[in-house]
Amino acid sequence: MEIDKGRVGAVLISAIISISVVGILIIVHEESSALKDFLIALTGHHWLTKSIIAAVLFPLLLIVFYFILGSEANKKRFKSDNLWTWSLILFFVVIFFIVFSVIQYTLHYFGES
Amino acid sequence: MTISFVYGLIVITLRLKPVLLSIHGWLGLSIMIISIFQVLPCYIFKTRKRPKHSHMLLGYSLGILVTVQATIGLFQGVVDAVKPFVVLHSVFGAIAAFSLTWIIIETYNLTENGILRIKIAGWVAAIFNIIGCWILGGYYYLTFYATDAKLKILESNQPWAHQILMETKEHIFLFLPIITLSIALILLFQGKDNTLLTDKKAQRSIILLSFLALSMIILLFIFGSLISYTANVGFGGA
Repeated sequence: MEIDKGRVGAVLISAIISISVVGILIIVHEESSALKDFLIALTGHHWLTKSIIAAVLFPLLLIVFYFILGSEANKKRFKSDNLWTWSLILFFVVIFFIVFSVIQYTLHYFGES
Repeated sequence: MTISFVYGLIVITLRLKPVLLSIHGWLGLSIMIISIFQVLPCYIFKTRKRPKHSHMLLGYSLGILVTVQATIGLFQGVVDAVKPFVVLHSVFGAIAAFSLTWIIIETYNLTENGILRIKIAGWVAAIFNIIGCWILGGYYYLTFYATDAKLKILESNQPWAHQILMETKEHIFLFLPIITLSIALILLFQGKDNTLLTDKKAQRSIILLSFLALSMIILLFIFGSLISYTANVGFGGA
């Protein structure tokens, strides 16, 4: 398959959405025991379920966005060739979830002890 | 490197242990020999052309070996008693970190040949991160850690090592395979032709994401070292 450079934005958009979904799951499952139980019931361990979600969601979104960005109109709409902007968004999304997780687990630790 | 090996040799000799009984010792000896072979031709040959390729090859080999050696050394120093699974997990992480460092340095001074090299480095980082860290680390976490180390840490007077560090590590780690795979795919797309040589924004994007992934690996490595140290030393029962 010929690689279309204009569709490179599909990689970053898929990464941002996948990380956001997994990041929200991480935050919410820590607060909701119902969600934690549901994640455990799916595979036997909440971490394994989240891993599988990440492993399935990213390639799936990648395929979807690769085809969406096939048209010139969608390329312009998503500014798919603007790598720097999408990279910055990905960078700050990851930093946000890292900082939030550290704060959340630290507060839980001191709340329990 | 030679001084480092000799120092290690003296330390081990004082402990009355044969140096070549460990992987760390063999690696140290290999690094010393390779570094000598890398430096000597520079003084023997007057022109730079002749030893260029062998010099490069030895240099890259040294980079990988030193990264692996430093990881094993650091883990032995910090953790003392190391499980093979943990060593393998951290060595694979170190190889991924080395590949990301390679991408950052190479992208700063990108050449036509450099594009191919960073593409390879991108896939090395992604594969070692996914197979070595995610699958291997996940297997270790779900089997050995959950039934052994976790209980030891929670029973010690330092339960924060699990409740803060491990909980954070196991979760933020899930972002890393996606980031490293994204870097490899971006390099695949952008490295299709030589336009990456002049596309400064694309270069900056690659450097930013590689720096992000590298910083995360270093952070998780520090977390991992502290968790292993707490599990092995224990700090006494609660």
